[in-house]
Amino acid sequence: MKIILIGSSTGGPRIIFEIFADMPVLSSAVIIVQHMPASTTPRLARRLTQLTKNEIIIPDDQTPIRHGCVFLALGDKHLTLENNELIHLNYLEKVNFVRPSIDVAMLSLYSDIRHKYLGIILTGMGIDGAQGLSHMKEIGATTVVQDPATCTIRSMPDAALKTDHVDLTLQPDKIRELIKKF
Amino acid sequence: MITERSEQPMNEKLPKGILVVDDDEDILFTIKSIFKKNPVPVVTAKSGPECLKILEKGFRGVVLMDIMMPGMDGWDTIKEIVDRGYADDLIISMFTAKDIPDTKMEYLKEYVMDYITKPFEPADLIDAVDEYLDLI
Repeated sequence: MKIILIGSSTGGPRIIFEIFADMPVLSSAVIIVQHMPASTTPRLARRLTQLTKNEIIIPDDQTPIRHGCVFLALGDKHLTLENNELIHLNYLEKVNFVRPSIDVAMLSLYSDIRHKYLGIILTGMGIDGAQGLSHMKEIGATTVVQDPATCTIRSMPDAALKTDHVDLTLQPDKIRELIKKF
Repeated sequence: MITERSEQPMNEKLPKGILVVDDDEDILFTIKSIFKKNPVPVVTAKSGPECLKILEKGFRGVVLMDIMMPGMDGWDTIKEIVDRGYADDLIISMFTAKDIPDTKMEYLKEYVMDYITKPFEPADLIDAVDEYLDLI
């Protein structure tokens, strides 16, 4: 399976909308970890449903991922993947001051010849996602950050770039193209 | 601590609006002018406490919050909004002349949807706010 994991924070929703506007049904499973409270998640899901034909899912614990779907991490719960395929949710302590944490999600993946990975960090404050994206690179993922010059807040992409484990720095329209072709 | 809000029947939610919180009256006037043609009502507050009084009455919608206000600044106000349980009905964007957010934001960043630096282009502000109003 092809798995795309996108991490995003302040300024992220608008970029996510831009990326997924008119996005055709993908042959990948997409997981989005956006820093947000639980009350915002259904709103984001509703908007994404209007924008793309991919099925938008706010997963429960033990939801299996599948292609053609965008799984939106519920606010205030960490999301991890068991065996790279089964979503789990937990209320463990915040990591990098947030829950869901992008690092927590990305670090739950492991190298697996059955899967192909794409890791993406979008705009946001802080360092969440830097360690996770570096880990994804180590397990064979293609790793991408949003061009910091196009970010509302550039800290997260900058932190990821400092790890030297980023393959591509792209503007949102190019991230969109990459996702389509992945 | 959740503060009791004004009683509002479940099936009668207040219409959504835009709440601008800034101690600079010129900014309040400018933003009201920018959204003059928008059917969504614009409400203004010159301080954090004034903002909280408006939220207590059941305001829901987009909040454009200035960071640098005397007394209760933007971050203190957001913390109060969260602690009082008002955040569920809001989309909050910070509105500031500082192009680099300070560390106070780190603890509250999940409640801040966007960060708009002054001076801003009116068209950009309208696009952002319209996008967020659609979320509510």
